[in-house]
Formats: sequence, C-alpha cells, structure tokens
Amino acid sequence: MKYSLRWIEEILGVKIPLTILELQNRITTTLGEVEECVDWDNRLRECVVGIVKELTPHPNASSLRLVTVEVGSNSSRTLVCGGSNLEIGQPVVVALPGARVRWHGEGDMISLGVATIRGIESAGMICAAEELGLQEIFPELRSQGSKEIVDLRKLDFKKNWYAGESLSKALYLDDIVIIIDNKTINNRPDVWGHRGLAREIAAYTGITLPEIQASAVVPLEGSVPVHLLTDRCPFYVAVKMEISDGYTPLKLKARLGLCGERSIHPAVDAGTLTMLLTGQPVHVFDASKLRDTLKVTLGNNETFTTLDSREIEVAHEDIVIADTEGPVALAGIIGGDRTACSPQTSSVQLEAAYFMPWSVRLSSQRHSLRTSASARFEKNCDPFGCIDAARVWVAYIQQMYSKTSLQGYAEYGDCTQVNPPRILNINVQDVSHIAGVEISSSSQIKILESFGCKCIEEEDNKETYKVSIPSWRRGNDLRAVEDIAEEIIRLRGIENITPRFPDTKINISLPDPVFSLLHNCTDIFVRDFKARELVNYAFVSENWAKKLGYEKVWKVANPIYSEISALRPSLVVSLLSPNMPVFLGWVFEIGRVFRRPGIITHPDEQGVFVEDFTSRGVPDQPWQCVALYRTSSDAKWPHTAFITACSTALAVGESLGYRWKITPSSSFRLWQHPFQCASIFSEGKRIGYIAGIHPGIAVEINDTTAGACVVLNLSSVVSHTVTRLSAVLPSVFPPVRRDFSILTSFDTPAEIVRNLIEGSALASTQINVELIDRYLLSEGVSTTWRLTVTGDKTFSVQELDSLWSTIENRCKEKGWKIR
Amino acid sequence: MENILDNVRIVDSEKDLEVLEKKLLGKNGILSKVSQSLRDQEGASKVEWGRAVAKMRLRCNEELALAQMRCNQLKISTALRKTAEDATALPELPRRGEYHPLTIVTRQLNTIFSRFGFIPYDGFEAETDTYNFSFLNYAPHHAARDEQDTFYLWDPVQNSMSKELLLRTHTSPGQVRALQKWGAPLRIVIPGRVFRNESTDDSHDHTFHQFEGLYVDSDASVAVMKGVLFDALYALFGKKTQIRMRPNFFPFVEPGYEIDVRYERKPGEWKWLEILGCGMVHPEVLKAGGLDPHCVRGFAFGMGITRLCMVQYELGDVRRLAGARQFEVQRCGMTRV
Repeated sequence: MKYSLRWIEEILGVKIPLTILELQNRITTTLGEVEECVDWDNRLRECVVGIVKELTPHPNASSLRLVTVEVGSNSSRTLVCGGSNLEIGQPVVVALPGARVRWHGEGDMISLGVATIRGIESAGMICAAEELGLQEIFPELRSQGSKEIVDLRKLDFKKNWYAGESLSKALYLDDIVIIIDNKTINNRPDVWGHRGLAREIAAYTGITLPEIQASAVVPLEGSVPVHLLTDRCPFYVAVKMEISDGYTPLKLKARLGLCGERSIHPAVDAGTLTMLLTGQPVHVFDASKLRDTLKVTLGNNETFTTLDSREIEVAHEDIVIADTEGPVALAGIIGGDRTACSPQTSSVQLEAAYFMPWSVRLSSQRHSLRTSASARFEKNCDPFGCIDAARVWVAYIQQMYSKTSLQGYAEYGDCTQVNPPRILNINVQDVSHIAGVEISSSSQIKILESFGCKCIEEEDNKETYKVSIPSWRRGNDLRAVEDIAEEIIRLRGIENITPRFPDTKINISLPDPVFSLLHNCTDIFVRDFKARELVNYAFVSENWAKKLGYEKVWKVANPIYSEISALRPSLVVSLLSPNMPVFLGWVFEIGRVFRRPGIITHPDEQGVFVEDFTSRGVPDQPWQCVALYRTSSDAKWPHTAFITACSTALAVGESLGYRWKITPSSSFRLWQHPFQCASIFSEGKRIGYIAGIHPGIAVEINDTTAGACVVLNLSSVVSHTVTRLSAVLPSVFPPVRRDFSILTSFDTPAEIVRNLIEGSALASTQINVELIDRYLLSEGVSTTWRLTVTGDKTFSVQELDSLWSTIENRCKEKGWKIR
Repeated sequence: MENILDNVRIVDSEKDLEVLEKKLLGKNGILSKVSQSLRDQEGASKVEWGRAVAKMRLRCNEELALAQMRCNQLKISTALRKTAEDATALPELPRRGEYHPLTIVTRQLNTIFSRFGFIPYDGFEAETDTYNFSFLNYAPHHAARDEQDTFYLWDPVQNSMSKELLLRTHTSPGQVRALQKWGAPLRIVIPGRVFRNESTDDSHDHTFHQFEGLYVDSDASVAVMKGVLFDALYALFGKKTQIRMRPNFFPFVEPGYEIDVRYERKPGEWKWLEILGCGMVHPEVLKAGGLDPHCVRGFAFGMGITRLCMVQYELGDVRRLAGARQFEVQRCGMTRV
C-alpha cells in the first residue's frame, strides 16, 4: 500500500513533527513494515519546467536539434535534443546538471553532467518520461515512440506552465511515498486508507485528528432505489448526481499516481480518491446506462463483460449488482463495461456498500480477479465507512465539476447489525501481566483514547475500566483484553518492554525418544559410515512408486505438479528415483513415510508403532531410515553392496545399543533383488530389512553400480530396550587361534556353520568365530573361519585336539568337508 | 693436544674421528707422549703424575664420546632424508560423512533453546484441518484454508478431496497436541517440515522447514518472550546483532509480532531479515489444548530453518536444500555440528 505523506499531513492539518526516518521506524515498529520511502522531491531535483523558444538543426547530426529553452525568468539555454515531437512554445521537462536521470529509461539512475554531444556542449537535457520515471505517476506521459519527449500539455491543458518552476512542485510531486508491506497490515482494513494511517500517526505524535472533510448529505429513503436481495450485502449506500463540465485537477491526478492508481474519468477518479482516503471501496456507474432499479443479488450463470473487457460467467456463489438487463458489476471486485462512465456521462450513481468479506474473496479467487477494491473488502471494511465514503465522494465531485446537482442519497440495511457497538471490561492488571511490565491505568486509557476508543473509569473500582471500541476497529480485532494489551504495548513502544528471563523453575524432562533415536542414527551414519545425509521431498511420482512395487499410496488432491502427486510410501522411492544422481558409498535419509489404512504391507515394513496414529485422526506416518550403499558391481565378498549393508546394519544396531539379528528372507517389492534380502529382528520383532537393488531397476535409473538398502522402521525401533553397555576384560592367558575352511552345500547358511562351531566349545572356554573368507566352488560354498579360543588357563595340546575333533566330527555328520 | 681436541669438537665423519682418536690415545698418540714427558720431568711425585694423566685421558674420552654421538646422528639423518615428506603435497581430503544443513541448523536451535528447558516434540506432517486450522483460531473462510495455499489429501474411500486431512502448513498444530498430551507448564520446540501449495522460485519452495516453540507457564508475558527470543537470536547471530520487533498478525497469537535481525547480505550491504514470528498464545488455542486461559498464559514462536540455512550457507536457491538439486551444493566442511 502506497501513501502520500503530503496527503496525510493535509488530513492531519499540521506537519508531522518527525523526520521521515523516524516516521518510517515508528510505523514499522508499531503498525506494519515500511518497505521503502520514495522521495519524489529529491528524485526530481534539478528538474525544471522549460518552454521551447527556438529550434535549429544540429550542425553535425541530422537526428539532433539545438533547442533554446527558457528555464527561468529571462534565462534560457541551448540544449541538444533528439526529441521528435519538439514544438515552439511547448512546455517540456528540463533536467539540469546535477539531476538524476535514467539513460533512455534503462539501467540505474545516474547524475547528469554537462555533456558535449557531436561537438556542441549541452548543459542539461530535455527528458522523456521514462528518463525520470514520470510515467509511473502519469501513464499518459509514456512516450509513444522511442524519441518522444514529455509534452506537459498532455497532463493539463488549462494550466499555465512557468519556465524555471521546479518540476516536482509544478507536477505536485514534492511528496514522499510511504510504501507499507501489505501483508503486515492485512488485519487492519482501517489503515488501507490515508485517514487510517493519519489516525495512527496522530496517536503517536499527540496530534488530534480533525473531522473528515465531506459534504453534508441527508439520506432520503427511496431517492435512489436499490433492492438488497441477498444477506451477503447487509448495507448499501447509493448516491445519484448530475454532473457537467469536469476534469481531474493535476494535483489529484498526481495523488492517484503516487498511490499507484490510474486516472480514468473524473467521476471514477473521485471514487478512487475516496477509497484511498477512507479505505472504503466505491463504484461509480453511468446512471443513464442503468436499466431500471438496481438489485444486489446472487449470480445466475449469466455472462458479463468487466471494465477491463473480460468475459466472465457469474455463478450462484458470486454477489452481483444487476439491473433488468443483467449484471452490471461483480460486487466488491469490478464493474461492468456496459455501465462504465464515458466522456459523455452526465449522470452518475455511486455505490458504497458492505459485502461479506469471505464471499468477495472466494469470488475474486474463482475469477482470478484481484483489484484494489476486492483486496479491501476481503479484509472486512467498516460498514460505517460507507456513509463517510459517500459524503467524501460527493465533496470530490463538487470539487471536480463546475456544475453538479445531487439527485438522491439513500441508505439500505443497518450498519449496527453487521457491526454492533462493543464495550469491553478491562482489568488493569491483566494488561500489565500480558506485557510483563507495570502499566498504570491512566497511561492505558490515554493510549486507547489516542486512536479513538472511549474509556470510562469507574468511581469505586480502580482495577478495571470500560472501553468502547470505535466502529473501524471492531471488524477483526479488539475483542478481548489480549487485543487491548496489544494496542497498548505497540503504541507505548515495543522497545519499551524490558526483556526478562523466565523466573519460574525449569522442569527438566527427557526429549521425545524418537528424537534421540533420529539424532543418534544420523550421527552413526555420518560419523562412522561417512554417509551423506539427504533430504527429499515428501512428494513422489505415483507411477514410479508403482514401478518399485508400492501400490495404493496416499495422494495429494491438489498437487502442484500432477505427475508428483503421491506421498512417499517409503524413502526408497525418492532415493532410487531416476533424477537422483548415482553415488558410490553411503547416502541416507531419515523422514516420515505415509501409509494408507487397511493396506497390508510386508511385516518387515510394517513394524509396530509407538504412536497410535489412527486414534490421533491422522494417517499412519512412521519415521523411517533408509541407507543406500553402492559399490562397483564386480566387488567380491565381503565387499559386495549387500554384505556391506548387512554388516553395517548390525553395527548400527550395536552402536544404538540394540542386539539385532539378521535372517535371510525373500523379496517383496519390485525394486528388491530376489536373492539379496534379509530381515532385521530386534527382540524377536521385525524392525526392518536389507535388500539389494534389482538390476532391472538399476538400469532404469542409469545406475551401473551394485547397491543395497538398509531400511529401518524407526518408529518401531524406539519401543525396544537398549542393552546396557558391559565391559569385557581380556583373558590373562594367551588365546589359541586356528584357521580352517569348510565346504558346504549351496543352501547351507553360514549362520548354521557358525552355530555348530560355537556349540562345540568346552566348558569355561570362549570361542570367537570369525568368517574371514567365502567363495563359491562348483561343488558348493567354501567358507574360511578363524577360531579363537580363550579361557581361564593355558590350554594343553590334548584339550585343543579334543575340541578340534569334536568340530571335525560334527561337520562330517552334516556332510561338510573340512579343508 | 688442544689443537687435536678442537678438531674432535667439529669432526663430522667416523673415519676422521678414528684418525683423531689414534692421534690422541694411540700407542704413539699425544697422550702417551705427554705422559712420557711428564714422567721424565723432575721434581714431580708419582702420584701427581698419575692424576694428571688420568685427568687428561678422561677429558679426551669425554670429547671423543660426544663426537661419536654427533657422528651417529648425522649418519641417521642422512639416511632419513630419503623419507622426507612435504606437508603441502596433499591428495584430496579423505571422505567424510555429511550432515544436511537443515540438520545442522536444527541442532543449533535445539541446543540454544534447551538452555531454557525447551525440549523437542515430534509433530505430524500429515495433519487434520481441525489441528492445523480450527484449533489455531482460523476462521472457517480464512484464506490459508484455500486449496491454493494448502495441500489436501485425496480421500481414497470417498474418492474425493478430503476435507479433513491435509499436509500441515506450519508446525503450530503441534502446540495443541503437546498441550493436550502434557498440559501446563510446558516448554517445547517442534522442528519439522511444512507444506504450502504455492509456486516455487529461488526463495520459495512448496516444502520447507520450521522451528516452532511453545512456552506455557504462569509468568509468560511479552517481556519474558522478548528475553528468551532475543537471547536465542544473540546466541545465533552474535551478541552485537541489531534486533527489531514489530507487530504482525497471526490468528493463533494475540498480540503477535515479527522479529527481524540486521545482517550483512553482501559486504557493506545490511538488510533487515525477517527471522521469526511470535506472540502470546491466543486464548482460543489454550482452550483447544484443554487449558483455562484465565489461569495460564503462554507465548509461541516459529522461525524458518530453511531461511536460516539460506543465510548461513549462502545457497542462492532454496530448492538446493532438497531432492536431486541438493547435489549442486558441495557440503565439504559442513560436518561440524
């Protein structure tokens, strides 16, 4: 929202006793963020009005001319100019050395100096609008050709232009535009008009806000007939006037431009100015084009052409203003083409109304039409503002037209029903408690009254007072003591609240166990396994998920891209997606995955959750950790991806404090390698699995490596008990080692061999069995084991031999060969 | 003799040393000559003579031993030259694990707020309209509820857009869930990712990370909120950082504020950076959490972890934080947590 500082000072009737920087800070810290202050007076410094006196050709360039311009009483200078529309007697814009211009309207502003152009010195330049940015304020000055300079007569034919007059003064641009970030004042419809901001400034400068300047009009029922046929428009003010011979004075045009609006037609401009002043949007119809009585109703699938020539179809959800021929306006958003004002217009009808904010917002969204009016209506304007607006508009019309006559003024509906009076009982201490500092009753009241509240103190009760809230603050806010406290705190100055540390004692509690688990898991993968932590979007392609074997996934109903509408059922879907780069080594991600209810998944994936999601009313969304390891496809045992993944999974479990077990299992998703699958068990319950990546899937993602994933259901891991750390002391007696190989059939898991060897231990000895090699032969699998025997004594040869023969015999029983 | 001893002191090869040793102590060495000449001298007692010779021998031996040591060292040094290393001749640094920037920043914040007793609470990513909006005092027609702003789930049973299930648009629903679970007093932080249905660009993504905080206790006030949050921001940006607080509106707080810090975007170019939104918990939210707003008050805050990452790591494009594009960023040296 753009505000003219001069206009605000005009409303206040005095100069604001703050520097622009102070004002900017004050507004930012008490109301909304000031994004920028544009000082047009400074921007147009050293620019003056010049009158062209003489035109002669440039001796050295055919496209340039020497222009003698008068730039002050009895002072003229000759400038070089390429302007195509130069004329004798023309009022033009002259930038003198020291002015800031933008060459050819492009790039940054630069400071103008004396230049020699094709051998002729030129102390200044005659400007095109774009070189000074004037077209931002006055669109009609935009140059039509590339060489057109500003002809000031385009702005105002009647005005006398004085050579040498400062341009900013002549164009009423000796002003500062304050730009406030719209979203920071979204909840304050009252400051979406200059009077609202003036009221704020008055509150913190101690200035008294004068009454609004408007024409006194008395309502006459039925003088402008309008039928309200929908409860979405509970209040409507209509004014009808006859007008002739009017124009928008340059000063008001400048004001419209500074505030980012456009001058269109004097009667419409009066309406726009009314909105900029009061914050209440109004609409002006050409009364002669209205057929019969206006009615405010809901749309009925009629088509209608807007002022900006768009065809729209109004539906039953839209509030429309219609006459007997059909809609003439989409209420609160935009008017219709058929009833627009034109130069021939001699009778105008004004509409100032209250439309239900949500209805305007939904309509503006449905038709993708956002206008200055709809932006304000959405925020819930004060219905009482309609009355002010109508009177201000009449005053503007009377100022702009030499002949006017008021034909009628009527109010329909009841403001107080929409916006009833509100009186709050405020406890002085409550406000102090919220602020955290003591604020006396008298200073609370003083602040509240500074912006229009009326406060009543009770004689016998000094602890409370009553506040009557003004109509313009009743819409969205000022409903309870918290709101009152907010007003007092901000107007008193947030910086005046001394920061304090809590003085209640801290109840130390343990963090959510899931968080500790996520934290530790991340640390282990990053630190111990040099993994790269990844974060992927929750959205995945439904087709890709299907390809990997995940069906019936949760979907977003309104995705940004229709091809990625599914919520990931597993982190695998994003880690193995075709657009992810392929990396050797470990990457991992920890995140929530989403499960549809009633879809039975494999027990390895399902897990048992600590959190009962369904009772909380949300979809199942357990935490998952997926670590993906890739290595070259010709790696040999034990460096293959799958074996690395299996041993890493056990190591991670150990680091986390769990005793996990791995059991070979079969694949259940399409991305899994059919012969590289294993389940992970903790305390006999499945908490995850390890699976190699199916070469078929690897091809699809251009992955020439061999990969395997460790998938952990963290939400179920967290419920398991952590094993306590126990110290193991080394035996004082020397260990005995022996390496040997066993040849077994293909389908004998190494686990069985290990169990057999471990089971052969003598009493009071410990056997540590380590698998140190494994390779496939034509007749079976050869595994090489290292046996380390320790105990509470030094073993004799006989003892070892007996252990050894036990192992040998047992192997023979199984049909395994010892090599 | 002194001449020879001087030579012994500077000798640097074992061969030369041997020669010198012979000259000193050999059969025809200087020592025997001197001893001869002393013995021949008259008027000296035998005892004195013996002592003088022994003293001289000792001195020679000491000097020779020192020289021997020096020679040995020199010999080893020469041999070690072959194993000399150049500390500047380095290959690529060894591979390390890499934390995601979001993890690093989240942990920083967790640590900072844990000093005030805030503990992390885990919120849901798929939430209900009730927790995401209604309990947080959003009016039924509030703009945030629009499909243009919020992702709603597809209801597979009704085969239509769900009216209730959505992806949370902020971490704030966790406030009500935590209050319902634990009641007051309460100090929690809720880190997590949130979703907005809006078009993406350099500084906006449809998914981003927030860090929410909630303090509910009898002494909660704007002053305490300011104390805690300013301290946290000083811890994050440095004690000298300029901080400003300005009013802003969020439905679930009243009064509501925005806090900006001044930071140097480029050398010499200082800007106010919106860093967090905060405010006193709205009575309606306390009620939804099962508390009596007349008895307790609270304050809440929320900041963008994603925004902080952008600033700390100068990422340039917020989309480099997730998905395939995170590989555009080399994260070396970002492993300190």
